[in-house]
Amino acid sequence: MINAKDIEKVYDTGAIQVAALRGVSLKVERGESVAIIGPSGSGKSTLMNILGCLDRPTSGTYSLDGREVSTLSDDELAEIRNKKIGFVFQTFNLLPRATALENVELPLVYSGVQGSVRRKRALSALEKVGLADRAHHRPNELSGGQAQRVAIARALVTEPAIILADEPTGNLDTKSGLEVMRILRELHEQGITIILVTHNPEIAAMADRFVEIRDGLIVREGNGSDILERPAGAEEGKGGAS
Amino acid sequence: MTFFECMRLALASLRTNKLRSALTLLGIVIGIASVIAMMSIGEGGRKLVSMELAGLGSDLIFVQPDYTAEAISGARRKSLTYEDAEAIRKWCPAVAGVSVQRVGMVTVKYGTDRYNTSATFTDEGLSTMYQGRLKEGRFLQELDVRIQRPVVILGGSLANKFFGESGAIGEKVKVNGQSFSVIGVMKEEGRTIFGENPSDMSVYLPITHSKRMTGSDEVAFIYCEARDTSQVREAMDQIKRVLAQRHGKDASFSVISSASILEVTETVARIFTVILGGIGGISLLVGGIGVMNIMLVSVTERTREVGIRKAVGAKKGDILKQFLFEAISLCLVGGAIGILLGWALAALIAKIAKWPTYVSLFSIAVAVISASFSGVVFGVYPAYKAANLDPIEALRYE
Repeated sequence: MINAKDIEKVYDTGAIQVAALRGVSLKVERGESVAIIGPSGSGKSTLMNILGCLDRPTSGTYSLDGREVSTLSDDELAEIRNKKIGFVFQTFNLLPRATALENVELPLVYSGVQGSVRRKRALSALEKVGLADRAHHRPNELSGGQAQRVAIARALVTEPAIILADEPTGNLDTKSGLEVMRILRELHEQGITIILVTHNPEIAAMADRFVEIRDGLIVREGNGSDILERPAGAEEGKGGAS
Repeated sequence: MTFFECMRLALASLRTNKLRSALTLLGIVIGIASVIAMMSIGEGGRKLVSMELAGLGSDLIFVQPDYTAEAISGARRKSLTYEDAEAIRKWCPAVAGVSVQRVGMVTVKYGTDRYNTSATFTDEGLSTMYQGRLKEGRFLQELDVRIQRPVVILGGSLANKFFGESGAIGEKVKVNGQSFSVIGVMKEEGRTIFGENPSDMSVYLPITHSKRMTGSDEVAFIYCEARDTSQVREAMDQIKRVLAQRHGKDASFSVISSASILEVTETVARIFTVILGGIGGISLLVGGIGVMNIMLVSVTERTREVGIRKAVGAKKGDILKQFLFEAISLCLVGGAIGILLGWALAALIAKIAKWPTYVSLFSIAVAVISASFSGVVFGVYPAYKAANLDPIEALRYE
């Protein structure tokens, strides 16, 4: 499904070059759920951006669903994002002036799905996250947990191969966070590949597998349940922004 | 994204910032309205002149000394005389009617009122030239000219000043001290933008009085009427031949047909219209810059929105279209309102300034095209800027 090899990413700020990733290789099978953990500045957001086709690696190869994507054009990447990837962000990133339904419809607008079909699919996605009754509310009329569930509905409305969730519970209280994780787990059980970026080990522990990144390199890998065995490693990441 | 989708999106986002959109719109409204109103002034003028010339008929030929040749080469100008007109009448079979005109200054007096005014010395051909412009009485007749009858036709305002609304016919006025009977009164032409129309104050006299009154019988114009429209060219050739015979081969006279005058006038009037439209266009330019300004602000404000749209799969073209459509719809809506306002303005100008304004289809076409054009021109840079935002940066934008 995902096969990233020797991914390097160097940011050229003019005077100095900053290496955010220094050779990361990662394989994710279809239907797997993987947590990427690490403290802020470790490069996990950069990795997430590359895996999400928002950015291209400086060097290395990345094949997604059998297609090499590290050299695609901006528009080709946009199409990949539209068809194969669903994003869930820490800050929800919903359009503030659009209703929940319109927000969920958004990816379908760009894949050219016409009016009534689009509406139907968006509604059924909202049903899956239990928010059909909030379809015509705007984001500011929703609680944080509800907003994040709308964002999940938006991520899965295109029936993507992967859902990338970047600190999905970071802005939520414990109860809403658990609710969001429950939905993500459900999706995982339905066979969707999930990649989770977090620095909360308890959240990461719900994934099949975890990958820990520090200073642009993978320092540790293991099963999700193993992560809590060495809490010291995760302790440093707590409280920091990704 | 489909056309309809883009339109819906553009209108929705304009609706969220109502006041701002309205103010931006205002710039375009004023711009388009001034283009329409200015052009209506030019077009109105053109229509007026064309109608006046068309009233003359398309079979007329104007003969006059060639002032341009004199000015350019310094050659001595040949003068036209009443005899030239006689010769044309006699030797040009394609010419049906000939009339002469000469203009001079005279003093007209009735009782204690006296005016220095321009006099048109002419003959019976006046009735063809000024068909339908006589208010009462009659035009000059052949006999008036031949026997130097002391008769005069007064311009409308002049007759009013002397005799009031009616009763001028048969009265006697003094022209350069000599007594003349009033045989006709012309209709008033009305005011122009420069004030009173000078022809309303002038008088018309038999040409044979000219030599004594102005010291010269040189003719300013000879008007000829071709036998019919198809013979205009033939008539012109015959006139040229007769004049060459009388004045020598190198004599240069300008012989032009009313059709070509009409053509030239139309062209000049059209240029005038375009210049006026251009002046209106300057305010449209200012309005367009307003649109661009607001679009740039809008792009900055909605950086995060662009990021979200790109993350879920919007291509550069989609974002470009979205912002471009916003600018274009601003300009088109503003254009539509501007056309209505310009129309109203044109009507107002016609009413207050007494200048005939005319909103032509052409000026509306110009307005619509320049409105959409300015939408594209002033929208494309902000839209381009939005389309090329980096999705990661845009998502991070606070």
